[in-house]
Amino acid sequence: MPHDARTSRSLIGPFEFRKAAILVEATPMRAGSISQLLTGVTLATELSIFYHLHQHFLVDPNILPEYPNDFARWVAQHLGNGVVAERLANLNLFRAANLQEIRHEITVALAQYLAHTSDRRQVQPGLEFIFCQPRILVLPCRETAATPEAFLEALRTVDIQSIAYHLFESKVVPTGARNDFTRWFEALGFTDLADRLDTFDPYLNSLEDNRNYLVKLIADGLRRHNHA
Amino acid sequence: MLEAYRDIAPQTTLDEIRALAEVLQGRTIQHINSTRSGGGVAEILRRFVPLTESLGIRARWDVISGPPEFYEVTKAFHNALQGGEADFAARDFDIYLACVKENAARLTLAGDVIVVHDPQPAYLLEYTRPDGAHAVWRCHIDVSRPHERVWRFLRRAVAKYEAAIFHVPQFAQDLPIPQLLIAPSIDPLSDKNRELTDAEVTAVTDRFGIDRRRPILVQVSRFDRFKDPLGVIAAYRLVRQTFDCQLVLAGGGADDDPEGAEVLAEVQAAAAGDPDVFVLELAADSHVAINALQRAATVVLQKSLREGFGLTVAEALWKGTPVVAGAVGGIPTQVFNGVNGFLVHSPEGAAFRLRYLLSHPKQARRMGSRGREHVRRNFLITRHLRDYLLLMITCLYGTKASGPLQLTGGTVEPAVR
Repeated sequence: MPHDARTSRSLIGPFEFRKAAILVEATPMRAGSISQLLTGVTLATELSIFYHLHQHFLVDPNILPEYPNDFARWVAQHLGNGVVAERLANLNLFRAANLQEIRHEITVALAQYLAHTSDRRQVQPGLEFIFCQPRILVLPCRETAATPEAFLEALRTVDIQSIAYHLFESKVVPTGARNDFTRWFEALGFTDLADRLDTFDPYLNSLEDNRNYLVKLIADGLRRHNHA
Repeated sequence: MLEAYRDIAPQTTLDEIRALAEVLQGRTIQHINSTRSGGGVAEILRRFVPLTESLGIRARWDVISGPPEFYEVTKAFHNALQGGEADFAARDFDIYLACVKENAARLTLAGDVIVVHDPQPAYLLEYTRPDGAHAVWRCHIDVSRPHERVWRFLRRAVAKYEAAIFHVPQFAQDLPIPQLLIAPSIDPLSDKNRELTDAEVTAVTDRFGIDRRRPILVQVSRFDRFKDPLGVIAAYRLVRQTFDCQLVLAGGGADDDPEGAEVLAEVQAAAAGDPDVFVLELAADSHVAINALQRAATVVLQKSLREGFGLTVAEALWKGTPVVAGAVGGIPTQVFNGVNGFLVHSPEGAAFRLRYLLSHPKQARRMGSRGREHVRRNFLITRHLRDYLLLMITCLYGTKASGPLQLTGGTVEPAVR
């Protein structure tokens, strides 16, 4: 809908790329078994849950680890429980609107497992899961984009942590399930592109792969839009 | 000065440092430790202080002093906090407290943020507390299994700080104050890590009679049982059954460490008669030699059974050398198993991974290059400096993880969308 897009463009501000610098805090909460992990996830702050689900993106943007979050990795590596690790790897983070939903999904997975097993495995001392939480400072990046074309160019080179921020930050400050990129294009009237962005699950790729995929998707979306 | 790191450190880290420094203009950070030379803390502060000053933030570095008996006590504390067995008399604690009290009377605490490093000066706040300053205690050692009595004593002092900082979550303790995590770092411009020419590397290997045409396995560490040098020799012997390779065990002199001398003798005995095993006792300032050995290595080992952070791993990865290392302490935060090296639990595990890397040189190079990038992003001094600036902002603007802050137009405020 080119007409809507032109109207919207005048109302929508430029996209300001931001990123988050974080300092990590270790909390006193530790878990040595599945049941203690359940207690910890129930009591942990939302920021702590967020951190353990996303921190691998911050450490290395080129890697998608075997287990895509700290909970699953710890259960696999230190408790040797592949079943629970796989359940925790398969969380529906992409569609969860906020961290309460994600916390609920984790606690249900753990509680259901505990309800049907006598597994009371405990890790060796020193290998406990330590709940951490981030202290976040949001910083502006150099890049801003007033047009979709400028956005595409900026996306190719912007700090990879900015892509993480805009893809995942909506989980910390709930703005609906859609991420910042989707909402900006939607507001500009690029509804087809926004819908396609909305079906893209960033949790299945490394951050750099996400960048490459987004660039391709948006370039293609703009071509189609201009053609229409 | 920060410019010196351009094209070495990630540009984004340098941008973040400049952005954070903007809101800290004219503020003062004061570091207090127990020595101006020797040891990792002094090494890092020697770079930090001028770097911080170059950003428009005032940096002070003060050092406590004391008689030899004070350092004997603090060295014993240091070992005990890292899990060593020791007996302490009441007099030891008295010596420590008297000396810290004297230093408190002598020192001016004058920072907006005061960072007190390690146990030696930890009790300073007991005797002096400047108004309005934010004091944090920075722990550089592995206190995950401390000597109970010494930790109880130290804990009383640490609990009075605004926060404590540890290298990794596993070192965090039961404390009533926030415990922040800041990993240590390497300086890519130091002699130990700067680029070397091939001729410089060869000069070092030639000096020790090491043949660069054949695979070289290197472990750089103190001669200490926790570094498992005998396990390294065992792994090498297993590898030698199929690969014509050499082993270099390079460590510092063991003159002041009776157990070190004992371990060194055991290692020399185990290596005796094998011309392809090089047991090198290097002087404390052999930074270029260590750099060259890590660069000459086909694979670097750090087969520790217990480890603090294990910065030698980051040093090796920075040189693009793949690492086979024990899955202990801070090593798993540096080595992603199968990505930039391998984590192992036994000599057999180490041998298996070494044989794999020796028979897959392309894969080994790819792992080495991933390792260098991982270190570039996470373990260079620039990231460390960025974390200290974040620490200053965290202290000064009082967030307690209750919500994100944002930096806008040179000020810090609660984040809003």
